[in-house]
Amino acid sequence: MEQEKEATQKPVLSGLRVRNPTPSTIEYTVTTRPERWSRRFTTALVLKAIVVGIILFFILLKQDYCDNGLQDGLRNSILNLKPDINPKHLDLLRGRVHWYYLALLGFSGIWIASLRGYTEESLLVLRGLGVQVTTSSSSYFVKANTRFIPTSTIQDIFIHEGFVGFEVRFYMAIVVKDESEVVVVFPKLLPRREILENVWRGSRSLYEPEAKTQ
Amino acid sequence: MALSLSSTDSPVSSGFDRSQRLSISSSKPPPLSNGIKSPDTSRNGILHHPKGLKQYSSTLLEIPTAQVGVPSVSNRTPSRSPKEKNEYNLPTILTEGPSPTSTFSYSGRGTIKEARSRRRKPWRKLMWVKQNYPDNYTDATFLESLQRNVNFRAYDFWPLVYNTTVIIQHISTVVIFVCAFIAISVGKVQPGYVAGASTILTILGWLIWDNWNEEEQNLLTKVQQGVSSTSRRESSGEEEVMAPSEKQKPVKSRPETEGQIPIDSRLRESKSSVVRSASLSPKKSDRASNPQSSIGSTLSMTPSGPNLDAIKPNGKLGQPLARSLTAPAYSSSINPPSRPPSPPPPPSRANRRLSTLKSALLIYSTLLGLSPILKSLTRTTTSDSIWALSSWLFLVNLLCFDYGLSEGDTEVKRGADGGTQLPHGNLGPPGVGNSLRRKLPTSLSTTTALAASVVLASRLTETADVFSLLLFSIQIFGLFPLFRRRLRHLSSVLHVSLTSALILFAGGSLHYVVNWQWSLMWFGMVFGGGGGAAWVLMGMQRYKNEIRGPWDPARPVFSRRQWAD
Amino acid sequence: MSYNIAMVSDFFFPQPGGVESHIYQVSSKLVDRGHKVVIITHSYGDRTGVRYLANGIKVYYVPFWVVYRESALPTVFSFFPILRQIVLRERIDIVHGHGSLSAFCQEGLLHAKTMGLKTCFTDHSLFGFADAASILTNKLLKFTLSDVDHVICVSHTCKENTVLRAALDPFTVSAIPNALVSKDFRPADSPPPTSTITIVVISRLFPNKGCDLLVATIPRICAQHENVRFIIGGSGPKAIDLEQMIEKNVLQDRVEMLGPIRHEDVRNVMIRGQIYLHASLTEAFGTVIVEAASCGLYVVCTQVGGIPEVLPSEMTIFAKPEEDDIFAATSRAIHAIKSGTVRPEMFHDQIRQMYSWTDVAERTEKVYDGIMRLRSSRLIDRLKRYYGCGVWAGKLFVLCAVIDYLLMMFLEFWWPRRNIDVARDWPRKRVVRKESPSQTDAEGPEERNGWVSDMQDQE
Repeated sequence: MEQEKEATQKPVLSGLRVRNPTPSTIEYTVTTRPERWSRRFTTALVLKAIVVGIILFFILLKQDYCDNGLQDGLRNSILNLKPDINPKHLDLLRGRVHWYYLALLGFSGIWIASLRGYTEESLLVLRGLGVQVTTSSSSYFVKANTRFIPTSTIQDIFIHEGFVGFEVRFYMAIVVKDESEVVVVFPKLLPRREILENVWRGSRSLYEPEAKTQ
Repeated sequence: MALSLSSTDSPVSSGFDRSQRLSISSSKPPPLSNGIKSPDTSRNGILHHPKGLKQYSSTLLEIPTAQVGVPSVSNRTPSRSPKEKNEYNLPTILTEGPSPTSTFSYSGRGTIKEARSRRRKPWRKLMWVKQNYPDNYTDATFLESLQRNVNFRAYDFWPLVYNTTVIIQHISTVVIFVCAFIAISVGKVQPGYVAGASTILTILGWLIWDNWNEEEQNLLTKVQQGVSSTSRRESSGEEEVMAPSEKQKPVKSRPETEGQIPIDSRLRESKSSVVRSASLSPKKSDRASNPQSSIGSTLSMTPSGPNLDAIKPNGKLGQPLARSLTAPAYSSSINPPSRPPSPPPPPSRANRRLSTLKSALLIYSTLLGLSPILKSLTRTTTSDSIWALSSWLFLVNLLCFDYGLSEGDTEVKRGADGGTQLPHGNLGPPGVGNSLRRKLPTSLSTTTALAASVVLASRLTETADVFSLLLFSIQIFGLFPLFRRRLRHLSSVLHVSLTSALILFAGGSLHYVVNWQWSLMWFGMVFGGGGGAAWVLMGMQRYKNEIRGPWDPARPVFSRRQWAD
Repeated sequence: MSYNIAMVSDFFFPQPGGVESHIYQVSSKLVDRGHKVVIITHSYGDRTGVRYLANGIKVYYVPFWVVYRESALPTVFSFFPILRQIVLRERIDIVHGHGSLSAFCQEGLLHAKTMGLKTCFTDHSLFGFADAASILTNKLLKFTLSDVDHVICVSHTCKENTVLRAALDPFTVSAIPNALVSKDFRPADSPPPTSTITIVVISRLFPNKGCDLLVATIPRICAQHENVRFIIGGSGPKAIDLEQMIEKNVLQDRVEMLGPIRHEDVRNVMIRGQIYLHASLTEAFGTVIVEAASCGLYVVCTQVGGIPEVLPSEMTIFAKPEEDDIFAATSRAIHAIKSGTVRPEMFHDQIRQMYSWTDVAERTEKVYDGIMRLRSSRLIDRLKRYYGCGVWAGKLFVLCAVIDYLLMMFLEFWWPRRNIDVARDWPRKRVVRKESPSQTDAEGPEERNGWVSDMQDQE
């Protein structure tokens, strides 16, 4: 316990974060979230901004309050740049578009902007109470998928291997009483074996009363 | 390349080994056809035989390497063995550098070198003994029981060509028929000529057939009288003679039914009849001269053209045709002689002729009645479909026709030619299933040919045209094959001459009906196909490589009793 | 020196059969000898994923589509990614394929060579050279085996067959027999009375098992010998013929058809009889006759395939695969049992010394030792070898090998090695290898009673 407190907020292994909010709880988080202002983080942000910007520009281009001059100006400048282009192809730029398409475009822009771009899965172990399994959704707008499993219904927690696509991966699973299927912890990320073993040791020591006393 | 290594290392010893094995293999009784040795030798084969061999190999051969048994096997193969045997177990695995054997040493059982230096018991091909040899030890007896090309039979060119004549004959008849159709439909030939000519030829053929029947019956009677003294009554008259013979061996009931129908032998019967009488009489006389010895041959010959019939007298008129169409082959080559004789007494020759005439008349009138219906049968169908359909039907006919080259038939043929071999003498269970198997395609081919001719005839516009074409088709597809087959069994000279006449006539009719290019093409196809196919087959035989050995699934052998019931 | 071995085959539990139990027994004995064994097979029904068997044998049931009689669809390359994952995570040294009809095995051997592993192949069956299926299998076998490091065959006849089929150097082929767990095949405590002779037949009732011969022979034996009964175990398409034979000859009270028999019940059936009749038409080894002899039955068998190598002649009567000869041999066996000239009860101890899985594992281990000493071949050498496989086939095989190699490069890029977790090993047994086990004194016992009795405790 003490050692784990030491490890609080620090990734024990790459990709695993352990949090110890209270002495009787421990939260393991596996995430692909990039470090803030790391290169990946910035790249994703910039890409997202570019896509949303293009969509905004297109919406503006088609809007009522934007006079035809803008459209024609754009068209003419393109024609100037590439004179051999068939002007008919540029007719797309002219005229108004039905609001329906604009709404669709707008929503997709919002959706893209809300994309999380990473997956975060966590296992919260409450000693004596149970465990809570959380899987983040892909979007900021959708709530994370959370499930609480009380200790009384937990029969076992184990690590095993299985086929996933063309791979063989380790996974950690919780056997719940009266359920035919096991609950897989970290089902999307399926972290590596060292992480799973670490989590498994921690979770076991927490939910088993005897282990607590030791 | 352990193989080449070892042979270069010790050429003398391997040579000795070769001669040694030769003598052994020659003294050994020949293996059975299914690759399994007879039991006593195999008992030996486990214990003594390899042991004796082994002493040589382990003492004389310096290296217990793979003398893969090359000489013994290549020796056992027939003379035309195409390849050296070691091409088959050429060690293709070569790890780079030294051969695998050199790197392989079995720690537990001692390295190969160590094992060699020690004096050892000979290796035995047994799994239950723990032997002081490495597991990958390869003995000199390795692959000794391999047999290659056991049933190898070298083909000769002319017999092969001769065998193709049967096929060519049939193709010629199809070509002739198609030519006749074209000629009739274009109007080049009066339909009556076609029907008339073919009918005349058919009647002639039937007369010949009848004549054959008489001769064979006489011959049979003489043999019967000579061999078996148990004939119940002697009879002076020719017709009565048939009775005892029938009682005793009702060998073939069916082929006789064919005899009562006029057989179409459209081409060259006048000529052939003369030749036949000449050629048949000596044969008959020499058979009759030593009847005892030729009992086997008569047994085998009777299926080819017996005149004893049980069915005919009470048979209805329509029946013979149907029977002959569905079962024109010499279907079951042996009927057990123990079968009870069929009760009805044989009819006289005149009676038979009369009933034949009646059935022929019935067919004539049926066709005559059907022709107007057929005339308009496919009026609503386009001609293209008809051509396609009839082509397919003729193709099926050609593919399914019973060319009579199967085993049983050749046996019969050999017997009929005067050999003393019983049909199926050394084959397995007599061909009950065989005959069943052969009946189906034959009837299928006849049916498809008749169907094709009906389809073609339905394109004609005149009733007379339809009638004559159908009549022609029945004669050429239903009856002529029977005549051809019997002629082939009787005389190969006549068979070849009939074939060449058919080829010429088909070519001629192509020239007359279409043009000379087609005729030329026909001749080219016949000669190129017959000769070329035989040549190609003989060339391909070089590549024949059939491997047999103890690993093949054994063919179970049943005693005859099993099949008799 | 202990190895990490992957057994690859389409045939494994839960399906019953000879290859299956061979794989299991050899693996388990190899584990006993300190090796690590992983078995890779395709999934059976919902039995997919990774499972452990007794003795810490790990079984990968790879989800694949089964085509025919539990053989997976031969998709030449699709097995590679998974095989690579398994090989890397289990740190496999040797890939050992079983069964020439197994597409899994053949693919596994090809990919293993591409990855530079050592390969071994065990052939369990005999094939002819005539029919189309055999020709195709042989061609494929030539392809995969032309590069395999060593081949194991279950009998000398099987070795000859395999050498011919795959054009191998006979030195790369070892003959190592099957074995049996002899404590599972003890004879009956009290042998059945010889007043009625009971003849046992246990086999899958397929045409190649000689069921037609049985159909022909059984009525004759029943007619000839008064107090002879038959017990027939097994199922298959020929069962109907046997039943017809029983009906036709009114033998219901003398011939008993048991239907399919589980392997663990075989002994209980066998000890009800005195004679075992085996009429198979082809057999690579014939484990069942060894089992029968071990149960104390006098064996009458057809002399086909590897059968003559399997048992000593005092335990068997060989017959040609002919109705008359089987009948005669069975009659001789009946007389021998009645007159007491053979003592089948004594067979068990002899069999126990002839065949044991420990011995098989030991010999297999020696093969492994040998192939681990070989250098792995370069790609160009492999290609040369493949090219020699045939005029057209050679080129096709080379193409396959090259594609396989490229596929491996792609896999290295897509799923890099460092991202693949290494699985934890089952605690290994202490290595119990004795170098040069009692080979010198092997001569002694052999002289005495015909076989080496250097087998230790059988348990």
